[in-house]
This record gives sequence, C-alpha cells and structure tokens, in this order.
Amino acid sequence: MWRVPIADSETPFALLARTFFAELFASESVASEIQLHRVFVWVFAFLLLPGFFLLVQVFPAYQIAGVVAVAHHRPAQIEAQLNQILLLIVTYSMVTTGIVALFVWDHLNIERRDAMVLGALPLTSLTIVGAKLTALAALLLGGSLVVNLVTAIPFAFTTTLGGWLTLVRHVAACLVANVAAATFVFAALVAIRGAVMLFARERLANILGALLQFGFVVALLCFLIVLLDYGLRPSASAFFVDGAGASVPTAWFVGLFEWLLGVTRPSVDALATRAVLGTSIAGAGAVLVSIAGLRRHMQRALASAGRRGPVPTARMTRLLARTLAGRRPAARATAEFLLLTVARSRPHQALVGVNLAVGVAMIAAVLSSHAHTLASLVHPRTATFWAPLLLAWWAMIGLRAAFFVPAQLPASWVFRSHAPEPERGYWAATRAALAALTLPPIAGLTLVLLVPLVGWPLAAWHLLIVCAATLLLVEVVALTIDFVPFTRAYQAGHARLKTRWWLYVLGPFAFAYVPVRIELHLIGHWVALLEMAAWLLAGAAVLEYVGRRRAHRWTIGEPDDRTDGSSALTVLDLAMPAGMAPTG
Amino acid sequence: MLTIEHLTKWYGALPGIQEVSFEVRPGEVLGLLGPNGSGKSTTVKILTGLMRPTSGAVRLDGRDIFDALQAYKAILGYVPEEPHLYSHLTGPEYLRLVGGLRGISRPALDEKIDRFLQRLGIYDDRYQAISAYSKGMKQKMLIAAAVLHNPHIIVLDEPFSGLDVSAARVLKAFVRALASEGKLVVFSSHVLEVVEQVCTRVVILKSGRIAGHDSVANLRTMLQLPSLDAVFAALTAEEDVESRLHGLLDAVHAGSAVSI
Ligand SMILES: Nc1ncnc2c1ncn2[C@@H]1O[C@H](COP(=O)(O)OP(=O)(O)OP(=O)(O)O)[C@@H](O)[C@H]1O
Ligand SMILES: [Mg+2]
Repeated sequence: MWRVPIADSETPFALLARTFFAELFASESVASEIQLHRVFVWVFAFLLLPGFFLLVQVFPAYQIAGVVAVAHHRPAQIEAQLNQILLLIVTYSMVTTGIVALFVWDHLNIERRDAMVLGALPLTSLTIVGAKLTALAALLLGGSLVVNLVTAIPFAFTTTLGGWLTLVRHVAACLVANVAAATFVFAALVAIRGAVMLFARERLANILGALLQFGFVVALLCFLIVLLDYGLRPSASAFFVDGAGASVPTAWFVGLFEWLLGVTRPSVDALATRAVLGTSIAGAGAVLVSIAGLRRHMQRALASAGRRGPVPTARMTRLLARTLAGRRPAARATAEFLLLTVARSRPHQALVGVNLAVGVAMIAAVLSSHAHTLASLVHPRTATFWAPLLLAWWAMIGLRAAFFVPAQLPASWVFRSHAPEPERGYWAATRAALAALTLPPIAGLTLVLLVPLVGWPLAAWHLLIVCAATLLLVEVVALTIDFVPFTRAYQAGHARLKTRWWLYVLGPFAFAYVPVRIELHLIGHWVALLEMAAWLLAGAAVLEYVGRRRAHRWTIGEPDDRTDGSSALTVLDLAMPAGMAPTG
Repeated sequence: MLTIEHLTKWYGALPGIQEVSFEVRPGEVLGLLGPNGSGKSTTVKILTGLMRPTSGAVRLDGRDIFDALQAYKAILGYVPEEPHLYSHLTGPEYLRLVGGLRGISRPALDEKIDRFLQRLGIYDDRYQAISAYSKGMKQKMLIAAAVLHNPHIIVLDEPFSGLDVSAARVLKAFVRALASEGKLVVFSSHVLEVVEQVCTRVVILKSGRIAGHDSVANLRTMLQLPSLDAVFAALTAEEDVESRLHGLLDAVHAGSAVSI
C-alpha cells in the first residue's frame, strides 16, 4: 500500500496555498524583470489616495453639514448625506478591489501549467482548488481590510455620537459591509474570467482583462475627482449618488450596513438580502468555475499540448510603422518588433492603459464641470477640442514608460548578436513605432468626436493641428530615449516622479491646453491656422534632424560584460550561483 | 583563421576558463568537449564577442575581434546554449527580425524564411507564437536564425539539444557541408558520437583548462584507447561510472518520503 507521510511542519494544502499566494506577486509574463515590489507600492499608494481625500474632504464636510442640520432641526438632510457618504465608501471599496483583482488578472484562475505540474502529484482536486481559493481570499481580505480600515474607523468617529459600544458596532458594520462588497466584486471577476477561459480562448480573457482594468482605473480616477469636488460643491456628487437604485450593487451593501446597524425598513431588508445573495452567488460561481477549470485543464493537459492559436498581428499599424521607419531593413525590423511587442504584451499595454485612463479621467472631469448640457458642446470649445491632444499626451507618456520596461530580457542577445552595426535605424524605428501607434487612433478619435459636434470643416482643421502637434510630440519623446525599447534592464525609479512631477502636470497644459486656446482664437483665419500647423511641423522637422544626428549614440541592450544572457539580470533566479547576486 | 590566445575569464572570484588557446581553420569543424561546468559556453560566448575575456585575445586572421566587433559579428552566426527567443513573436516574425537586423531586405528575406521553415518542418506552425513551440522547434529557430545571413564563422553551443533523430542527422550533415564550403565551425557538445562523426579536431576542456587538443584519431592512438568516450574519461579523469551510479542511487533512496 502507498503511504504518503506528511512533512511535520506543513501540510501540502498549506504549502500549496502559500505557493499560489506568492505566485500572485511574481510576474513571469513578458515583462518579468520589472521590480514588482515597487509597482505594488505605487499601486497601493494610488489606491489609498481616494481614501485620503475621503478623510480630508468628505468627513469634515459631513460634520459641518451635521452641525447645520442639528441647528436647523432637519435630521432628514443629514440622513441623506450619511447615505451619500456610505455610497462613496462602498464604491471605494469595490473599485479598489476591482483594481487589485485586475492587477493579478492572469492568476485569478487555475492555469494549465498548474494542472500539468500538480496533476502529476498525489493531490486531490479539492486540495488544489481549495489552496488556490485560499490564496485569493488571503489577498482579498488583506487588501480590503487595509483599504477599509482607513475609511471605517474615521467614518465611525465622524458619524457616531454614542459611546464606545456604538463606535465599535459602527466600525464592525462598516467593515463587514465593505468587505462583503469587495468579496462580491472579487468573486465576480474570478467567476467571469474563469467562465471566459472555459468557454473561449485565452486571448478573449486577455482583452477582457485589459478593458476591465482600464474601466476600473478610469472609475477610480473619476471617483477621485468626485471626491475632490465634494468639499467644494456637495451637489456635484449627486449624479454619482442619485443613480444608485436598488439594481446597483453599491446600494445593496449600503443596505447591508444599515441592516447590520439594526435599521428596520422594508427597503433596507430588501437591499441587504440582495447583498447577501449577490455575494453568495458570486462566491459560489467562483468556486464552481475554479473546479470546472481544473477539470478541463487536467483533461487537456493529458490530451494534447494545447496550442495557443493565432496571435494578434496589428497588420495596418505595422505597415505604417515600416513605411515611417525608412528603407533600412534593420529599422523596419525593429519597428515591427516594437509594435508586435506592444500588441502582445499585457503588462506593457497595462502601462499605456493606466496613463490613458488618467487622460480619460481628466476629460471627464472637465466635461462634467464645464459642460452642463450636450447642446453647449456643439460649438468649438476647449473642453472638446483638447480631448484628442490630451489623450495623445498620455498615450505617449504611457508608451515611453512601457519602452523602459524590458520584454523578455534574456532574449535581447538577439540585438547584440545579430545587429552588425550601431544602427541609426533604432532611433528611426522607435519614432516610427510611436507615430504608428498614436497617430491613427488619435486622428480617428478626433473625427469621431468632433464631426458630430462641430461638423466636417472645423473637425478637419482640428485634425490637421492635432496631427502636427502629435508628430512634434513623437519627435520630442524619441529624443528622450537612447536604447532599443524593451531591451534594457528596468532601472528602478527612472520615471523620477519626485523631481519630474511638474512635467506630468504641465505637459497636458502646454501640449493640449495652450495649442487649443491658440487654435480657437485663430478659427476663421484659415491662413493663420495653416501657419500654426506649419510651425508645429517645422518644429518636428528640426527635432527630426537633431534625432538623426544623435542616433548613432544609441546602445543596444546592455553595456558589455553583463552580457551573459540571463544570469546577472534576472531578479528572481533561484538557480543563480552563489556570489552572483544581482547588483544595482 | 580564428586564433584563440590564452583566454581567461573570471566570474567575480570564480574562474570560468583559464589559459585556453587553440585555433580554428577554414573548412574545419572544431569540437569543444567537456563535462558540465568545464567552460565550453564561456569560451563560446567570448568567441562570439558577446562577452569580453578577462585576459587573452581572439584573433581573426591576426586581428583582434574586439577591435572590429561589428564587422566580426556581421560574418558570425551563433546558436546559443539556451533558447532565449522572443517568444511572443511567431517563427517567421522572429526570423524577419533577425534578418532585418542583419540588413537583408524584404522580398528576398521572406522567400528565404519560407524555405527555412519548410526544410525545418515548422512551416505548419508559422502562425503560432514561439511560446507554443516545442523544445526542438525552438532549437530549429535558433539554428535558422544563425545561418540566415550565410555567415563565414559558425559557432554552435550544444545545437543538438532537443532535436529528434532525423533532425539531428540532418544537422550533422549540414555542419559538415558548411565546413566543406570553407567556413569555420566551432561546435560544443556533450554527445560524443556526434563529435566523433562531425568534428575534425577536438578541444577537451576540464575545469576551465584544456585537457587535450588534437584530431580525434590522434587522441585515440596517443592514449591507446578504443573510443572517444574512453579518451574523454581518461582526459577529464572523471570518477568511474559505477561509483557515481551508486552514489546517485543512494541519494535517491535517502530520506525517501514514499515507501512501498
Ligand atoms: N554567469 C556566470 N556567473 C558565474 N559563474 C559562471 C557564470 N557562467 C558560468 N560560470 C561558471 O563558469 C564555469 C564554466 O561554465 P560554462 O557555462 O562555460 O560551462 P559549460 O562547459 O558550458 O557547462 P555545460 O556543459 O553545463 O553547458 C562554471 O564553473 C560556472 O559555474
Ligand atoms: Mg554550456
């Protein structure tokens, strides 16, 4: 009979759960060398930012409103505001959880590789699925407790006037409601991704992940803007809050909170029931999908070496980039490599996406505060005209950031070994890739956005200016790079946010706001507008010349001697011989 | 002629290779042989110009390769030991990248790539990302990329790993044929039969130093041994197979978690 003694210290389940948990924080996708802990710090800071504004904007405003309401004997008023705040807190919890879940999107379900490795070991499916879900639950609870404690405790202090017991009850109720809300979102995302993986290709799951990630980041940023607005004009957040009917999950969890505090209104009961039901269904869905996924993988792993299927090719964009890159084969090849990497690497897309999300949020903020009706947008104005430029700016910032994150660093010997000469082509390729990736979508967006609003002629004029300005920006950004993108080890803190933050703030102003103001001023003076476009293009041409002159200084990948492929550069290489710890 | 003179490479305080000298003549396949960790890959990486030696030199027709590195790389083809490929690209995309970097322009390159893929039996997988390729297919990509530009010097680091029997037979003949065209071929391998069949001369490395260097036939007669296998064992003074086998079996049984 087979007997499998268990190690004295740890059960296979615990070991497995711990491994799955660690896996959440390890990236082995295309960009494996980025220093993840730094990214985590940034993501976390980003997630906690709205919490901070809740503290400094919303709670004080509420307290003042409370004093006013008491003075005027209008308890209903404060009641309404309390509900608003609760909605904000619950939304915050849900949005942050969504972002955390999307950050580890690739690891939300059991992967084929897990099935292949674990299938060979004497473990039951229950152990494997249980361990995976335990690891996910640990992430969920850890994350949402931190985020929600930040809001729950001050919230309880702000809203309770009673003694300690009431205070504790408020904190507990707030935490339970928010963690439930977080669980709902997290479990729903696990179930959705699992279902997509079950019934469709991995590719679809990736696209969905990218879209959801983008959506949640935009949501968080918009949320931030609502909060910023809150203290100034409480009514501005009304649009955000009023829509929350019984069909919106946020409202369910507010109901749950009230129910936990012992409020007995039929509507509260109904909402709380929905909250509990919704969370249970999402949770059960996540469990079922995980089990089904493991089964499926086990069968497939045994059946065949399951291929991935065709990959995105970005044909038109590549064609454009090839054309822009010039005649040299090396430049063309490099431009194609850059485009294909952007088209296929999720971590790099995520970087661009997050930056774009900032742009979208900025546009949304301006639109929501300056344009009260749709009709007011129908004549030329900054709020609409600067949108394409703003997106071009953030897309370019995102692309540049992505270029600094290596893709499959060990493979970069390809450039060192096969490239026969220091290539001017690399600069040409980078600039071509930047232009090919930004110009067509930005141009399309300009037309789609402006033609219905201001008509063809004005939209066409604006298109000219937008394209000229974007080209100029492409040249500027190309000047700030001096290596083949994706082939250099990530240098922590290259973004130098501490010293360069003003660039990120002033950039949109200088690049999007100022040109649009000038342009709006010149509308009707067509010659002057043409002149403006010509000036922008002349600027681009000068920079093009400078770039060409500097191009020979470009380096390929690493300077010598760190060149032995994988060893010195990979951060988490357990096979690394002693004495070869990564430096720097 | 490629001359390797007193190459020494230190990895920090660890010696990689020490005082390695030999030469490679046109039309010849030089085999680099040695146990794991003996310095074959280190030698090869220096030969390709990807890594600089701590001391010593590599000369092509008397000229140090590091003085004209780009020109040297332009006539060099290299198959690295590990298949580090851009695995998000498909096979043809990868070869187009390499060919482009080599300066081969498009229509000719495409045709060339198609022929390579067909001959190597990966044509049907041309729309797959390399991440979905098998080990042998990746190895074939490396080989194709190395000879795409018809190089004059070819350096292969364990090119047979992962190849099936028929592909290995083709590669053996291919290597010999390339050499007979007057190219210089350096070839590191663990597979003794292959080295015996393909190489004209061998350099046997042990712990980073040259333990033997001659033609296969000479080495055999000199040491009065029947096979390269025996020559290798004698020169590298490996523990005999029996005692290593017993040591390994003991290790397998020690502290075993499962018993019957
Ligand atoms: N990047 C590195 N850092 C430190 N030491 C290294 C590194 N690469 C190789 N070495 C050391 O140099 C010596 C020679 O290694 P090398 O890779 O050249 O051996 P090899 O003959 O190719 O072995 P194998 O047959 O396993 O491929 C070994 O002792 C190894 O530990
Ligand atoms: Mg080796």
